[in-house]
Amino acid sequence: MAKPKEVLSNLNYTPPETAWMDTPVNIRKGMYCYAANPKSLEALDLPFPRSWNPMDEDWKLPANWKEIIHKGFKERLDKFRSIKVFMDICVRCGACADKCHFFLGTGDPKNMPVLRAELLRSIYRNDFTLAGKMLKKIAGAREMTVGVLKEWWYYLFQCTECRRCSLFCPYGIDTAEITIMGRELLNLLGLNIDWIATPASNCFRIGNHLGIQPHAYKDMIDFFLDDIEEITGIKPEVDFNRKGAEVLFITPSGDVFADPGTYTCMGYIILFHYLKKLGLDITWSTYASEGGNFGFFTSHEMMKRLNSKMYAEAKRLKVKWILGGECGHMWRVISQYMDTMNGPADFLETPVSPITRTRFENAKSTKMVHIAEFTADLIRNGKLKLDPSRNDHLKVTFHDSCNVSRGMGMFDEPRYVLKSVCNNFYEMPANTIREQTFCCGSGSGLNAGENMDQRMAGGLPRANAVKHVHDKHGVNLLATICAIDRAALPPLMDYWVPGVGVSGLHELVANALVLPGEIKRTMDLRKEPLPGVEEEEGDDAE
Amino acid sequence: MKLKKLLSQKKSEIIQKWIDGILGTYPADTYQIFKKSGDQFANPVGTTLSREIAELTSIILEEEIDYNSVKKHLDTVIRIRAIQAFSPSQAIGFILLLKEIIKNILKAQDINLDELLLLYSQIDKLCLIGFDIYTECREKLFDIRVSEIKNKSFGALKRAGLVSEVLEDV
Repeated sequence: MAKPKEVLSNLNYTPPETAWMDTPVNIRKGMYCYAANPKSLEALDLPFPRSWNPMDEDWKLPANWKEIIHKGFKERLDKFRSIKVFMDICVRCGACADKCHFFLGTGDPKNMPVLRAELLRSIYRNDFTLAGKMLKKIAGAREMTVGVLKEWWYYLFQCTECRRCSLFCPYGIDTAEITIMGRELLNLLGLNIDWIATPASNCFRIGNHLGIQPHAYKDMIDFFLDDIEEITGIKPEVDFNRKGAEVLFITPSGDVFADPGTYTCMGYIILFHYLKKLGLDITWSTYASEGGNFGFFTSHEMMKRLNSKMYAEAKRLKVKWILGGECGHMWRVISQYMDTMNGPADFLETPVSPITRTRFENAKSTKMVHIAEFTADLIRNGKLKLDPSRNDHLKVTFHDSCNVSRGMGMFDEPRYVLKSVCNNFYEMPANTIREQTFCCGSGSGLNAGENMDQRMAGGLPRANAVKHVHDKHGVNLLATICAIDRAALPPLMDYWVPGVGVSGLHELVANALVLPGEIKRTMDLRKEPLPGVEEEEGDDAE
Repeated sequence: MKLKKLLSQKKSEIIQKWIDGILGTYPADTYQIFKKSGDQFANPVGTTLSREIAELTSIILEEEIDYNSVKKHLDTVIRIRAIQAFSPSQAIGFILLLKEIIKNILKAQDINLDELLLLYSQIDKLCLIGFDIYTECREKLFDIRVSEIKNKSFGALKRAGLVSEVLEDV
């Protein structure tokens, strides 16, 4: 029998040291999303739909899979000059290495953006460069194998395409673009994840991620109208698919069907009701009932396809411009890709606020205005009567959503609105907000349930900053302008910083908005009593 | 306790070795980055682990160990390791590293066996507390997952008007 001393001396927790190329991928439960439902792939005309399990040895790949990947890689190198440049110019300086939330949270070196990109670059060198072909491993090249393919799949779906790493790259390499291309290649072999493929398919067939049909969409909004009446004493009207309206409103379906986004949706309805008398002529669509674009996480073609339906609906309804709700990747697609993909939308007019007459020159090509910008303009021009004290029980901080902040440069408008509707606002530390914001850890289609470990690890740096303001200032609400954030951050807070809730911006706007003719507000949009506001005695007796 | 007084004089060395030991459970490239002192937001795991290990060491070397404080600091460390690529034993095994560090720091003539065994038992107790915390963290993850699924499916049924609820007035 071993003596205690010997047992102790055998304690070794140090992982084996092997170079990254010699460390095979270890697909771990909790760190990946389930494979795509073949029916969803079929609906999107994507190749090789089949049932397969990432944990199985055999991924049921087509016999010529290597050839497909090689051809697909070549085609994209020829098509996207940026990818060719990104494959060639990295000098492995390491500036990006510690900037990724997944690396910081998991501690897995293959989540360093440089190494994640290297997974593809090694194949690029082997297949497309002379040095790689001749010198192989010495030149950082390696043969494509099933093991490499599995490594691609595992790590390309551990990137949320948030672009934080690209902010620090001295060459401006956009690692998100590398992930996007890598995922396109995986899609050529039918290797998508279900959390992306099924929402994309639903959106393509029905109009939104959940596959909610028009009548159910309307029912849900009606449900909100009853709640709004109970809270404010006023029942707004919402109309759908109305031809000839001036403005079409498009928001992520998460706002209509998932708490706490639903309260933000009620916020939009209350705001639009307030603005009606001031001249807002707006309609909702039960067909373009989704702002989000999961095609963006599949391929350029799929992104284009899903983006086009919003504009097709705008054309059909003959509106002048589009107002967009609090969404993340919808805005990244609009801001970065739409104009050269489906645009310019020259059948629409440059958006002009019917209330303030502000002309949104920044949207003159896409014809789509972000609601945070629209509301900021209203407040700036003194058009909204606000009582921020109704939000006094809240100590609020703001999470910049990657797509809206880094993706399109919107930093100040949501803050301006927040500070106008809340008296207690505290910023998180400078290196965790604005351009340097940390991702929620669940973006780019990774907000599934089966990858909870991955989500908690990816969200660790964000939660760490929230914890700081929670401990220091007593912050109890994390506001954000993205539907994925509103779905992903509550569990993240639950695990890392219990006691911090999550809300959208317009939920807080509507809490503070004083509607003409409203009853005394005794509860907020969640029907929770407003602290310090007693119901008048007569109210109960009625 | 003479032993703890003696060890307290070498506290910074113990802290350093323990931090090094726990960071050494990560792959070599990660170790280099986590080891770098940076600010707590740029290097959340490295700085948090270092801070908490220092706090834990101080508490353990006190004459009377405050196990409530121990639980708080262990929770911060294990909550992180519970969602990383560690087996349960690896996630909490860093606690036992302390035994070896202490053993290597003490010279033979300094060792009072009774005192050493008592300290080792205290470290064992930390390990048991760690086991509880690890289990709580994993249970929390499963709870989160279950409530997400429940909210989604029940919410959908409710909104579709397929669920009959007891009314408050009935």
